[in-house]
Amino acid sequence: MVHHKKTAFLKFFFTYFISVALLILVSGFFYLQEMKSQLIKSQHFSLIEYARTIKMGGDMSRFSNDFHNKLVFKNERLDIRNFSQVENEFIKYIPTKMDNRYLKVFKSKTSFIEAMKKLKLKILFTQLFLLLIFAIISYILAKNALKPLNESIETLDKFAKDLIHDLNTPITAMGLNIKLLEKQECNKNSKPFIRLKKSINVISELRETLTTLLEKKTFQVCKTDICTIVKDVVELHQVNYPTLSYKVNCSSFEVEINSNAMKQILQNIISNASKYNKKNGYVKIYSKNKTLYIEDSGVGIVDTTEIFNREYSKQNSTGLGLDIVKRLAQEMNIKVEVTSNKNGSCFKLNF
Amino acid sequence: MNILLLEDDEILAESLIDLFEVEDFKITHVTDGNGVLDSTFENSFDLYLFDVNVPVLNGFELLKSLRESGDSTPCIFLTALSDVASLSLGFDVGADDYVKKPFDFDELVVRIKALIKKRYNSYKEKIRFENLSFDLLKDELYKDDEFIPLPPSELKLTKLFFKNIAKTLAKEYILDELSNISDGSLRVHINKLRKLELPIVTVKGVGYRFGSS
Repeated sequence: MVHHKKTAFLKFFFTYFISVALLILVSGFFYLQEMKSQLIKSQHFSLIEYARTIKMGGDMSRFSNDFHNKLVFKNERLDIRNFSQVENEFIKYIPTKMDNRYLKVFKSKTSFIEAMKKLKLKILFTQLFLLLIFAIISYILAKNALKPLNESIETLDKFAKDLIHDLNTPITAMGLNIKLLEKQECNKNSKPFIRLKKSINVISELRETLTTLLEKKTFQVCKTDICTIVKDVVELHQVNYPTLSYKVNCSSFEVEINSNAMKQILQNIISNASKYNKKNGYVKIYSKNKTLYIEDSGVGIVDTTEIFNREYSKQNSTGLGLDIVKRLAQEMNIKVEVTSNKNGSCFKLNF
Repeated sequence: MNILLLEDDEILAESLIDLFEVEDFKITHVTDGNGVLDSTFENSFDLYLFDVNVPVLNGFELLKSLRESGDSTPCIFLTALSDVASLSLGFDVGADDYVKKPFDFDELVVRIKALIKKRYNSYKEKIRFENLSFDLLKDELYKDDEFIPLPPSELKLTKLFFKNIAKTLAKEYILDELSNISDGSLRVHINKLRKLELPIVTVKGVGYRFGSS
């Protein structure tokens, strides 16, 4: 469940945060544009003021070294609103009483650039501050929004756990009674008895897998040699399928896993490989480049994309096995790949 | 061997009793905490098999109070609680073993036998002393491999002596273990056992001793 919770949380968080962040960035951009044009206007205005002081005669000491002027000839008529900028100066032409003569006033850009720099910094910090606030808000929102969902998941989990817990006692009783019946000679070879025994085994195996699955939350992973687990599982199957040949080529392969869960995964895959095998077939297990291969000479799988679905099931199976493999592998960050043809299938576990 | 089984699931308890019968274990079955307190008051047992989630007093509390009152009978918990916290609590209150459901019956029997043998400081199921031998699991005394039937009090006394070969036992301790019989009847039982040629020595002012050192 932890995996799903994380994805749901991240999805919610980023959808909200990115949309708000976009809004903040765009408005910040337009604010910068607006402020910039205002600054330019004020430069324009200061040039007019400078020209007027020259023409009317006034206190020139108000104007710093940034300003200077000269008289120029211009043949065409200039718009009174003219204003332009070159590399490091603002320029404006002011008409004079003399024909075709204009007063050209200049102002250095230094103060403007300084002001722009300040403005940009101010906007940048405001935006960062806003983004931080909205990141916190998105976090709290995502947490709160997912709370009821998490609670219902937890209730379901707990319910499943209690249910499995309550299965323990009757399963024990079934096992004990099978043992009692086994002691009576007449039962030993009776078909209904053998069928009953097999069914009880299936139930206890299912209980075991479900227990591992529900313990995912308290999953502890540690460096473990997979080969020993492989050998254990193979040994169990060798007894049940004496006609199959099991070839294990695995010496030392250490990975971060939970050994219980890994055992379940291998159990499920190898049990399928054995169950759907040909007469005198083989099951090969070997490791190569951080990958464990389980190859069989079985009947093959028609549609390999379907098999991990809960609904997919073959004769004599619950369809739960590979679904469990998928969930457990996901929890331990193991990638499972399957290739299959008429001559067999190959499961690759990529660590 | 006397076993007290605390299990509230009727079906599981009945199945266990049937299986233990094959092993020649005597089972007293109770379904709740009160039952345990009553039967431990009336009888002494060689082993307790306790479920944890039972009515009235749960298994952990029960064993804790039994241990606090000085009862050191070996105890195995049979429980569906499989987490480490419960396991650790089980051993904390004084369990000798902890078996998780579903368990394998044969495994349980192996564990029970091991516990009993440890109790008698022995590695074998039969303790031999000179020409006498005592079967721990069946509670039977043999002399030159011949079964000697004993009445309950004398059997208890014999068991006590075989548990403490070559150790002096205080009279008070023996009386206490035999559910408070009188001083006089203890002397009668000891004399009867001596007639069966059990080497019991009187240690003056202290008590008795089985086998000289």
